[in-house]
Amino acid sequence: MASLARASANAQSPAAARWSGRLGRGTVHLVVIVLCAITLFPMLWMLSTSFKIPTEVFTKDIQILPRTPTLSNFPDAFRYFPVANWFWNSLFIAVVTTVGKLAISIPAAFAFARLKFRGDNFCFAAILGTMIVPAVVTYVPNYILVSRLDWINTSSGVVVPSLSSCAFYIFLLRQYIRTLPQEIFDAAKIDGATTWETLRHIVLPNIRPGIAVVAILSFLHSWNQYTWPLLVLDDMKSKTLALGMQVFASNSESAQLWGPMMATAVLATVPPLLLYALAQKQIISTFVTSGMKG
Amino acid sequence: MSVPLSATTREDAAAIEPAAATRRRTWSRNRLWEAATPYVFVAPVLVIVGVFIYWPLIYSIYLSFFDWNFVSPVKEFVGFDNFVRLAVDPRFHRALYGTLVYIVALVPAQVILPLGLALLLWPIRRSRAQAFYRVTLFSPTVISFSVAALLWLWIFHPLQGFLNKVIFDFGFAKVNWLSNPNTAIWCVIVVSVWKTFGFNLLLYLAALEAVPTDYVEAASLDGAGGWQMFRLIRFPLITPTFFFVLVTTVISVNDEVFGAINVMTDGGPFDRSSNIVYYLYEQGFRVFQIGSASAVSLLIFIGTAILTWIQFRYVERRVHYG
Amino acid sequence: MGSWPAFAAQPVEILVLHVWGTPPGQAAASTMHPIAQLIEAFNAKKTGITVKGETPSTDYFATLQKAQAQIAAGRAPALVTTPWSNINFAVQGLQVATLEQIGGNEVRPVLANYKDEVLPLVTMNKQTVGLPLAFSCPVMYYNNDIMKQAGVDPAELFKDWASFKRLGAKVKAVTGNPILGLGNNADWEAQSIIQCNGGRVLDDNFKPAWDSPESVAAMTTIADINKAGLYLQSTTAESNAAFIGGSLAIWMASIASLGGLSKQVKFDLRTSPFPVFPGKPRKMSSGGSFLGCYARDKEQQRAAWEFLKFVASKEGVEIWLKTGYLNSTKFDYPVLPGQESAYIQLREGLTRESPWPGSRAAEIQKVWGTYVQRIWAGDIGAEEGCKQARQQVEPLLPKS
Repeated sequence: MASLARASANAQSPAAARWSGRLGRGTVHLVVIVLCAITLFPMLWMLSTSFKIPTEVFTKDIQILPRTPTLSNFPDAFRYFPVANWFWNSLFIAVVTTVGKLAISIPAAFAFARLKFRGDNFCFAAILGTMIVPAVVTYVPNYILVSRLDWINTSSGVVVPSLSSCAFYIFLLRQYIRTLPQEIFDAAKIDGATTWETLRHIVLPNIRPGIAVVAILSFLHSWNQYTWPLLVLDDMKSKTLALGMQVFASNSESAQLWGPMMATAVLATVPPLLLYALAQKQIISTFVTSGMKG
Repeated sequence: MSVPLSATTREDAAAIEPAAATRRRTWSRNRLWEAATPYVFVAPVLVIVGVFIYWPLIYSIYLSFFDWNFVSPVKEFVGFDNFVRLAVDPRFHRALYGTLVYIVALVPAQVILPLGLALLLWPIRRSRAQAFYRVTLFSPTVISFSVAALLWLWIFHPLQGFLNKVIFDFGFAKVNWLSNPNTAIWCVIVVSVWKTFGFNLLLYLAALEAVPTDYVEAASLDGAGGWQMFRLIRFPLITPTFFFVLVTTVISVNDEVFGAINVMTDGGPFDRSSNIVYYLYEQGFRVFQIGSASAVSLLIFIGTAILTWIQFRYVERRVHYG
Repeated sequence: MGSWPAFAAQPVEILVLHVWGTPPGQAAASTMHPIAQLIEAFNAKKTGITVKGETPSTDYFATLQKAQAQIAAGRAPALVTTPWSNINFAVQGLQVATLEQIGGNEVRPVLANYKDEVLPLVTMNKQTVGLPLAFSCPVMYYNNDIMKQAGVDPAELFKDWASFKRLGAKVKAVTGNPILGLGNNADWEAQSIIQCNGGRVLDDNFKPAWDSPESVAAMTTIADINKAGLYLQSTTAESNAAFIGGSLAIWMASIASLGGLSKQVKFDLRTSPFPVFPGKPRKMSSGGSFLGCYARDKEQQRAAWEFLKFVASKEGVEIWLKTGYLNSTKFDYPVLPGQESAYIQLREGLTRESPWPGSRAAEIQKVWGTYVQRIWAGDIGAEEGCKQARQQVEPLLPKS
């Protein structure tokens, strides 16, 4: 793959080009590093505050690092509020939502990518069409439905309605399955494999990277979901981390516990960040493979 | 761009052969099952989407004609009252205006800024620092909106905030960022950009990587420079991604800022950072006016549908599907 | 009150919905909130009644909404913390069972232990709608280090609003910042200021009365203080942080924040009663909540009353007052340093927090609160703002 730098090198003398290339790249690095610093800056405060004692959280002068660092915010957070429950709820909801979305998306994606059936275009349009419905539009009726089912303050109340936002994943997987060579499907047909067998033995093993990416995106999405859980999860013990965080500072008649709050925020941020860092190459290459082409 | 067949697949394919032979005996039942399979595959999604997206849309229409506080056993039919009330409610007008500001400010910021950044990262994609850059720039995307907004409270703080400290040192007056009716909405916008640009960046980086090498090489032999290369070769090839990002951003932008509004400003000061989503939340879930919240839902849906239609009508024709 | 009689042959379980998750400021993180301690202490008595506490939300109104949903579903919670501001809703919307209904002739001796200034707050149509529990009022917290540096005598500063404005400039010179911040919904503090000037937010029929000349004059006071650069327009979280950080000299907030603040600040933290208007009495609004009984079932009501009796006993009151709320009973309990200001205001007579009327009560409060902020911030004139707020609220009032 030819890079821009190499492309421009063709036109100039090699030595000068190498120098200007280095200088250009240096500038680019500098700009990007500045942008990274801006991006990271608020998170630095989160990290440092999680080690601060109460009197150091808000000071007249900017004090980035804690003067008398303490670890007690972490255990304190768990003592003030059911943070362990929140952590478990976030994890449970994210994992179950992800598994559920994969379970319904993969077969559908396969059907839309490779199978011909009456009404296929209509069904595909009906599913893709949900992407133009902003989630907020469904909140009131869904809240009524969920409360009728007595799912308020339960994980089901968050997970089940959330399964409906899987159109993007179906689209992504469909594109991925389309890139598989036709020959393997032909071969399976000659062998007399049923559609179900084709899905299990041909499609699934070959789209593992795509599945992994969809799983990670879905996990990140549900882990950080805010609005819908805010409506459904009210009870202190049923909250997720994203919601619970606010409780530390919400009650103006009690203390505003920024240290423990930021400690909780750190705990809430580490798992998704690690997950993404490990998978970022794979995510990009999956997007490259499947593309956005209709 | 073919995906290599994994070794396990070949073995699996071989393994199913004898099974397939026995199956031929119950041929007709199998054929029925085979014909039904595609429907079985798509049915779960259709049911869930029907129950939790399409049914609510229809039910909203019904609810918007009633006065109901969510728990009362009777819903009182009020005709178009809820819509009339919205038409004269100054708080709703504020929310509409805010919605417009969010679209006008955030759509370019979330569609074009990440593209610029992707192009910036492109020439140095072989650098060892690239992985670090990508993780760092994406990192705000993986944290929750509630955390993000809480972090920025500290930066925007009127007396002790980092931003005002810097401004003050340069000799300017301090600003009440979140409580000044003219700046609050921009604070929400800044936080939203910071929080969400990473995802679109990722899509663009992938799109650039997907541009076939031969196009670029041919163009560079013709002596095309950096900008020309982008305008004539790369951009047309990534227009599908561009269009996708544009459409989804327009739809989701007002949903996304809700978290920041709720944590940082509560729509304030004086509803100046409110938007239609926050207004709906207040009507539906703070003051429990289900009828008027449903009316707002409908308006949001219709508005979004129109915006999306406009984009498909006028922008999509320029998209180059390779 | 050593031994409690076994009450029921059949064990009964009652549900108490409340809003407290965090232990109060000064307590170690491991201690339970006093409401949980109350419940535990009561259950330990093995009366046959088991009390279960739940926190559906830390927000009063949201908690009440949950209760409303449960009542509608036929699963009425026995007791719910009900804020004064929703007393109308409790009576009309939720049909609260009065103490007289659930406690019969046991009620009078129990209420005899409560201060005379407190009982009118829970009395409606000559019935007692609940047991006063959380009891607070807004006070002025101030940073005495800044006052000393400015050479300002706090007693002089907080004497009346005119002296506040005059001496405030000296305080401002020390920090270079606005000096007065707001720690709650604006409408709560606004009510106090309006009442101190002889105005009212709502009249006896719960109709808006905030556009009277007295109210407008009171509202103008803060707008003027803002014009003088002394009022900090900010969110609650911001003014709280500014005060704790030492860059804001004065913070108007609930006395219930005392415990939390004193643990977080590094300066000499003091409190003062609100400034008054010359020649007019101080008449502050109170905040907090009472325990209202929403059970429909007779047995549940009886059980709820047994628990309320414990809450109102000396033992119960002592557990509860660890929260830092004010003592609404006649039982002796030490006054915490800083609470004196609140007790001064209490003795001078507190009124109920504005009891917003009708099914759109929350919306009315929101509209008015928004106008209070606009007026104080100088976004709209006091007179015009009060008038507009009234016009906007008119269609939201219950049709009578």
